Amino acid sequence: MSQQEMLKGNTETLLLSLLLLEPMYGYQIVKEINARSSGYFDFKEGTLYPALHRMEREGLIEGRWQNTPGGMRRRYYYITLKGRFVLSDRQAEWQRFSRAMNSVIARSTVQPEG
Amino acid sequence: MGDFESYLVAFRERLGLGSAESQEIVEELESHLNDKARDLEGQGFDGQTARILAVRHLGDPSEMARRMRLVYGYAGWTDVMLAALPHLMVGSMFLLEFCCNYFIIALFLGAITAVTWYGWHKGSPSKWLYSWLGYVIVAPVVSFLIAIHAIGYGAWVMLTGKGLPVFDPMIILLICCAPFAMYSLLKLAREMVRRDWLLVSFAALPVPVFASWVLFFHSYEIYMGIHVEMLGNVDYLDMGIFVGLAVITGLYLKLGRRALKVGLLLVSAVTLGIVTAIAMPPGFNLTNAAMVFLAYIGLIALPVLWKLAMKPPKSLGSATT
Repeated sequence: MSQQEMLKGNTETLLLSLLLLEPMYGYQIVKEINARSSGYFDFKEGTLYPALHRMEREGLIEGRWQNTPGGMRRRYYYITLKGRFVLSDRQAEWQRFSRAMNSVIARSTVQPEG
Repeated sequence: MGDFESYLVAFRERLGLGSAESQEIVEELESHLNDKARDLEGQGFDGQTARILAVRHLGDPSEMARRMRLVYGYAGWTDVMLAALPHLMVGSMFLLEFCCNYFIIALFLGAITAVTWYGWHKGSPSKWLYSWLGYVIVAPVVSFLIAIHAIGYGAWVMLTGKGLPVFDPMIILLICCAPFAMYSLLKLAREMVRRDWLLVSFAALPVPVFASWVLFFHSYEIYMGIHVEMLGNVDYLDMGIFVGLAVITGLYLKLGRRALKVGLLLVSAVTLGIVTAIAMPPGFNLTNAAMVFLAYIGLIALPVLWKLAMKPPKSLGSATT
């Protein structure tokens, strides 16, 4: 499975985890994900906004326009109570999944040929 | 700014959503492009290259618009049920012969007002709320029509030499009510049209049905007792109109493309205009029926004409409706 395919299935979890830390606007989210994953998650900017708007319609996050000190208007996203519950479930599921994966992978390390 | 503007205009044209929704999304993308270009300039790129790269990173505007349409174009089943609910409530009032039960009518109006007030003040109104707003519009329209009729009646009394109709407090009350009803109606309708004229046209679909009843009853000077007798019976045709409205509303929310929605509106307006004219009680002649039909089409076309007459907001891509 490619990195992009894995990212696609976990976009919501990543976004909710970030927004749990603090409210952020779109471009800030892209930069934070790249920085926190040391560039591993090359988040496509074109996929971010549809994802954010879909999550907003599902009530997981809420977008609010705010004026910055520089006079610009930015749309900040806040995690909602429903979003927190969903994130909690996803985190628990992820823990179970990663434990199971690790326990299988750890016992079958591939030795380089030759 | 040329790169951003052409990108955002192309995106907005392909988005095909209502003006308020489009406006917010375009503004957000514009803010993103500015941030990105500033960041790239900080990394040493010149202004022009930074803007080109910022646009390139965001991706093809058609693809971006398609993804956004998938989010906004289709409503969930909960939205569909909530949007159809007020029509079904009115339809069931016909079925259960509650049309002349003032307690039930007051309860219905109270529920409509409370839900609409809550939905409108909560923030961005959901799509399902518009069908409820349609019934909120009905009240001032009917009040206005009755008031206009009262003014006409007063003028007729004066002309026939019977003196001013100041003895009738109901007429005075109705005349006073006319400006307020029109003011409320225009204020609410303007805000709704600004957000999305197409949704407003769909919301307004029940208005001509109620308005034609009022016009009929007053034109023929039918008194309250006959109202009760006529409306008190189970009227399957009128019930069918409201069930039809519920189905049309559901279809509207489920259709993705705006062009299909416009097509649905045209077909619905013509069909409902004909059915409403047919559903009028005996005594309603062909000229009256034709007037009801034309009024129907006129009222449904009003939001788009109003929108075209409005001054477009100063922002990118706002030229499209």
